[in-house]
Amino acid sequence: MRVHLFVTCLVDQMRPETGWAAVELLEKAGCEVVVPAAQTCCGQPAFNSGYRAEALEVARQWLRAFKDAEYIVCPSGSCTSMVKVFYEEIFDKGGEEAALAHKLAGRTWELTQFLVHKLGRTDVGASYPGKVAYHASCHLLRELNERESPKALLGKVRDMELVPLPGNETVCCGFGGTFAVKMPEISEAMMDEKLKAIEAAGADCVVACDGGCLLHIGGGLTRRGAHARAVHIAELLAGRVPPPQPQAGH
Amino acid sequence: MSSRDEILELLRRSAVWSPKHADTFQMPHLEDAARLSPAVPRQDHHALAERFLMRLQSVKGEAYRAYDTKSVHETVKALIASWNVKSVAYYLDSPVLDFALPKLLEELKLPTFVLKGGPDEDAWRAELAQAALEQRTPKVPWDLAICGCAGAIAETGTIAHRITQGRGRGGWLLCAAQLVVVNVEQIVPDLEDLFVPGGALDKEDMPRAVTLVTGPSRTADIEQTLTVGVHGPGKFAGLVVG
Amino acid sequence: MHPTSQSFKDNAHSALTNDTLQRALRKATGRFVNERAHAVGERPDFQVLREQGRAIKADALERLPELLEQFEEQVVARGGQVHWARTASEANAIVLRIAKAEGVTRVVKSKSMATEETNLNEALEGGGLEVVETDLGEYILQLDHDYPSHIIAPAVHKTKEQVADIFERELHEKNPPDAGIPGLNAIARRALRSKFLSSQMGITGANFAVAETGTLVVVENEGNAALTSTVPRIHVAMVGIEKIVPRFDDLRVMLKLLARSATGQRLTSYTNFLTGVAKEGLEGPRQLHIVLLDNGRTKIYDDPKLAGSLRCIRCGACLNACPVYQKTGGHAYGWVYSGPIGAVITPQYLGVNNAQPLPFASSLCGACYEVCPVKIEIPHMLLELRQKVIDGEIAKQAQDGEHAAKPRKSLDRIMEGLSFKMFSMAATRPWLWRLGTNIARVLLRSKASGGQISSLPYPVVRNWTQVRDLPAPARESFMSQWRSQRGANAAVAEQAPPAERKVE
Repeated sequence: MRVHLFVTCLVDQMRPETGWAAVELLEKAGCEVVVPAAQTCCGQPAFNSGYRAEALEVARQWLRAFKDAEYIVCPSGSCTSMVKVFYEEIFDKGGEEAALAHKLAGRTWELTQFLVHKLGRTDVGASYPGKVAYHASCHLLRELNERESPKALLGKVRDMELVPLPGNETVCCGFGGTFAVKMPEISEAMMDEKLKAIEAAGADCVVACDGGCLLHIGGGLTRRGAHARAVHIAELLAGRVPPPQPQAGH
Repeated sequence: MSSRDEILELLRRSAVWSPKHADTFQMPHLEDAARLSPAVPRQDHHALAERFLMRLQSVKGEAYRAYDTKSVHETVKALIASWNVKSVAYYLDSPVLDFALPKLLEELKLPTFVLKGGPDEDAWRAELAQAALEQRTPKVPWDLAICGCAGAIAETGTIAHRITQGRGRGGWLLCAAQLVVVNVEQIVPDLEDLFVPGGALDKEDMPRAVTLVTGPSRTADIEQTLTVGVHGPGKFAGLVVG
Repeated sequence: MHPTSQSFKDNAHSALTNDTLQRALRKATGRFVNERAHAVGERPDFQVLREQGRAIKADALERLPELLEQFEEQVVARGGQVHWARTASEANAIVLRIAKAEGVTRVVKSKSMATEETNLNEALEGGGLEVVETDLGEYILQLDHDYPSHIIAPAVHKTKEQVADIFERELHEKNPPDAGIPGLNAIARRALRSKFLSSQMGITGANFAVAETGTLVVVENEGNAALTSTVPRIHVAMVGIEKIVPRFDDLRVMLKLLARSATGQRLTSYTNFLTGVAKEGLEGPRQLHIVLLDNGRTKIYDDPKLAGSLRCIRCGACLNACPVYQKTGGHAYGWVYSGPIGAVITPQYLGVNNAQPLPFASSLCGACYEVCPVKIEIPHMLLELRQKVIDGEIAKQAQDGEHAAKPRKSLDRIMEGLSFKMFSMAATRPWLWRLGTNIARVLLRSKASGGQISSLPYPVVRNWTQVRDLPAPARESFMSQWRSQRGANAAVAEQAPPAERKVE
């Protein structure tokens, strides 16, 4: 099975480790991974800010990059949503581009959804000796309606304890893309709730399927000097997350 | 052009307007709704009564069960005592008459008022006039209003009042306590069961007002703290008979 | 009230730094969310009901003009009168005219967001009438010259101490020391009782207006709407045109959705079905006047992408679920409709240029959509409105031919526009993308220490580092690493020979 990796601009620029982890997981599952060189970004930052014309241009580039793919896999719930849900709104209905976008949307998968629902894998041989909290990123949860696949994979990680975030697991972390810099005070207040919950749960690690959430939550954790780290689920599953340091005072 | 015409024309200019025959509407997922509904089945009167009383209690109504005139009288007497009721009013609804409640009230020697519905209750015309004279807030002359109902919903603990000849809302809305006597056969499983021919919410026979009452009046407007009895009655009891 | 939606960020700042408000919001929204979850969890058919609710309101909107005509016919046949108002001032004038013609001096009101929208109280008081709000929360706000901060819990931002002060100041009634909140409620009950009995006109809103029978449905917990529509001899109902439901039987679905979504109740204490004028000899007002209100609804109706917001049944569930509302409260949005639905409809009612921040007052998390009983796609509508804000600014500048009235804001927007133009130019040219991002990464990495960037004192991006760290970007991008590590395999994807492509 040949899989085209839609690596996302965030992973490409900020966290290539996530990209390599995704490649490893896919190759271990028997896929041939190719990475189209023409990909840059899905266009979501422009779209979310109301710059639809600019988003359209960037989306066209995405179509060009992936037009021959049969399986497009992406380690980001929000970028996957952009393609699967919002490309419907960007392209003029009834046109050729819209038809191509629709076709490719049907071929695009978020990473955990692909592993679990397409490849039928939940046990990827992962282990992590620590407490992990799961943050349910909003786009994966509500635009792509996915509640199962990340938890199914986490459930098979050896030695790991999944700690709940009571009342907060499915609450938005406050990233929201440009929201984080347009409404920083509110973004911070929402981040506070997430950090409080992570600390109360005694987590060594908070895991999510979205690099944006992780940048924001992780940035808050390091700013506060907190014990927990924010990691992408791909990196945890690929065994690329070092074991937790003992917590101070524990 | 009148505002009416302007509004209608603006609506008709929109792409959202899709004129089509009213009958083309299909309510989706009817079977799923029926299959998944949590309501008690219609056939089981006992279960319906139980659910009704349980749900009524959960909304801070008091729930009672009786089986004959004697047990009805005992329950009403006890309620009057526990609520410290000094005066009673009632509508001439069938349960009130069927179970000889006027006679009971006579025996208890309580001041009693007969409610007739209508634009002003005769029962308290005198008090209204007196209050106006003395420039004070009128005080409802009765502590407790007793009524029957036009139907009851088990799933929600609700009773239905239809305001028809001889019935009103002011009589029970303004006083402090309300007792509704419900015949067990009047209890239906869920809300939609009142929307049938002959039911409390029969669309072919809607009086000016129908009110569904689910427990006592309440508010949580101040600091989200629940207080019972704001404008309507603060004490509410349902007595299921049969 | 004068809208302050343009100052959303400042308003939000005040809210975030107000500890009392934060505690009140946490308590109120937390309670609503939990109660709703219980009530919804009790009904396995709830998701089906949501789909039915959506379908009913969508049907109502598709046939709205015919249904409004049918509603009017039914009301008139039952002895009521229907008035149509294009604007807020027209609606107010209609009610004032009726009051004057009938010698009304005192009016009682039960809760109606539509009358808040039109500022009816101000118009009536200006016409010499005494207007008394009877919903406890609204009554408190009226005494304090304040306005609602939540669709169904209007005084959620007031503490009991504040309420006690208001009652003492305005009613000269002191709450006895131990009486607490029940004592305050008792004061209000006493004060309002005589008002019900001495008013000539009662004004309500309506949750639903049934076209088939001309019935108004008014849902409440206190009993004040029942009293308002029973005791005074004239009943006036202010009803937005979008409140129409086509069939009486539709209420079987709508009433199962409303209370559970709003407060977590199965049904509210009183659900009133009001049809026409009472027959001679029966209890009830002698006159019924229904004012059908447009006031911008026809404009919303005109846009297929936004018309869905007219399905709203004003339950407030989206407010309670919204992590932004939970922090800012309702006043931050600057008008009578707040929270997610407020962010969608306020810009449409007031004009996008008068409420520019509101479509951006959201992280687009979708919690609102999840709880909306009629499945309004709020996040998608917010995105649509964001585009309108950007286009609106551009159009305005084109109109003015120069910078708009607030040059600083315009400059920000110009810079933003340029940035996204540059972004799209780079993103459509992979070579330029590589070049630009390589430079950007080098610059950012120069600001890092210990792998983290803690300060970026430049416009916009400073808002990130004010509040959290930014990890240093990668030295080499993933794409570049892939090329160097995987060599010839990279960049193959675009034109793989057909034979190699597996057919699944």
